Amino acid sequence: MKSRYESAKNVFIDSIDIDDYIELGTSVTAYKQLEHSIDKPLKMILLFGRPGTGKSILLNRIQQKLKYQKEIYYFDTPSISEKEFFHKLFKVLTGKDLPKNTEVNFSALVDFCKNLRGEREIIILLDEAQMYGPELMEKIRLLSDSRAVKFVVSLHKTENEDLIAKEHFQSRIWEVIELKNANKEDLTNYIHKKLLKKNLFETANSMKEKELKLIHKFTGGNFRECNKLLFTIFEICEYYDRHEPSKIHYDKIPKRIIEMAALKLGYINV
Amino acid sequence: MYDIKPLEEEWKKYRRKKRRPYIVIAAFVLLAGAGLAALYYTKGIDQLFSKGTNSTSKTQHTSLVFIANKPLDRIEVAKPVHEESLKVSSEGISDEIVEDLPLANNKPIRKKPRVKMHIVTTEMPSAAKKAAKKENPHKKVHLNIKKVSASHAYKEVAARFRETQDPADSLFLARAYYKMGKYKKAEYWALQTNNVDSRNEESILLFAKAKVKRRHKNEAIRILSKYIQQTNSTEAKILLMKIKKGKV
Repeated sequence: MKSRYESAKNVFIDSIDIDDYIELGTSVTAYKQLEHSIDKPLKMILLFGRPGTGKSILLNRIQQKLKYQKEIYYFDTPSISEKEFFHKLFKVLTGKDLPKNTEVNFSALVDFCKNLRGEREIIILLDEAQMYGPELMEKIRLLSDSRAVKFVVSLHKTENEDLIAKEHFQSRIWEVIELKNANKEDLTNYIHKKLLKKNLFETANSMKEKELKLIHKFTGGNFRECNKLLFTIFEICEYYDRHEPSKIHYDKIPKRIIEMAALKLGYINV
Repeated sequence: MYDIKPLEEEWKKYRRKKRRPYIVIAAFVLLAGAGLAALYYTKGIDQLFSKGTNSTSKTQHTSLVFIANKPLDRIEVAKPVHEESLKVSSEGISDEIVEDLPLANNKPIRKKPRVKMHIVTTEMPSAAKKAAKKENPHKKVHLNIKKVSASHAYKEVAARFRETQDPADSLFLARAYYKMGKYKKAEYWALQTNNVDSRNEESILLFAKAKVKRRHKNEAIRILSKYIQQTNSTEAKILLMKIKKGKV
């Protein structure tokens, strides 16, 4: 027999599936800001935020929304080498694969982009841009100077990456959008909406304010951490539901289980 | 999920760790409570309370310096600080050793006066008894009169005061010395009387009068004014008037 917590657990599997996108107050603002920036004649836009603040899903969402209106491409995984990146870019620009044993001539590519000015407006969403080296970033900037290709660069906000942002982007980026961790209300909405989206009304109701406050305390409002914690919580609930039902109350998620999940994930220590 | 049991154990440890400060606080509170209860039942707390009430009565009396069991000279300062007041009194007295008496601070425990009678007296015969006399044989009354010099008598009274701390003795000496014109001694004994019995008005009046005689008129006026402020004594008011007019 399937446990009621199994479906709840699966809701919180961390993914950037567009169907999992939850509209929250802050995420809607960020989305509108990004959409507005894309419409402006800007060369580069920086999407900034700590890991797990929803940058990837926002890029994904905007690509899905605008793909029928604009030439918009989402580079989810960073290319290991320059060669790979330019192969991808070549395909985006020309719609053709680069012939085998050939390499992209960068200056020819820039000229090609310059020729596209006024004819096409290509938007490239670069996720995990902190993985690109400074040299490649310089070439990306030169390509954006052609004004035919616009880059939305998504970057993790850590100490080192802040430095990269400062050194390589500060003078070139025209607009910066920062995503922050969710506050308690947003996180509550996020959890409830996610569960309700899958018709898990009872489970959503069992998440009371006190428990949600504790979850926010452990995760700091980070969506990825929240997904991890809730997945573990429902995994423990599922175990008890199957093997020791006396230890669980269906109308409430016990604090004990939240703390056990936090212990398992290392948010708290003995 | 297969690691639920170790996780449960870990959580129990975590809960114990989290509760530890509360347990420590609770234990401390319990111990403190038990200690207080023990004190209460051994009447230790009663002593504490009685101490408290003593101190409050003390503070109440400090405003009425002469009513409290405090030295007389305390009224000379606005705040009744003991050390300061002692200084003032010693200034006036220190130039001459009056008597070899203990200071007020080293008071011995007060005992009932042990008076040595040198004069043996009998009852005065009344009219009824006169009739009875006729029936009973006359009984001779012996009066054992012992001659004692005045200075010796004062010394004896002073010695007795040292033993008994009877304010009547010290006041007697103060009065006697004042009459004799020995104002410094009178002042000393008035002060001793006040140390023993701070409510004794005569000691204050004598002290003030002695001060005037010793040309410390202003000091006497200040003392009396302070005393009048606190007690509204008519006697003191009259004396103050007299001192101001120079009739003392």
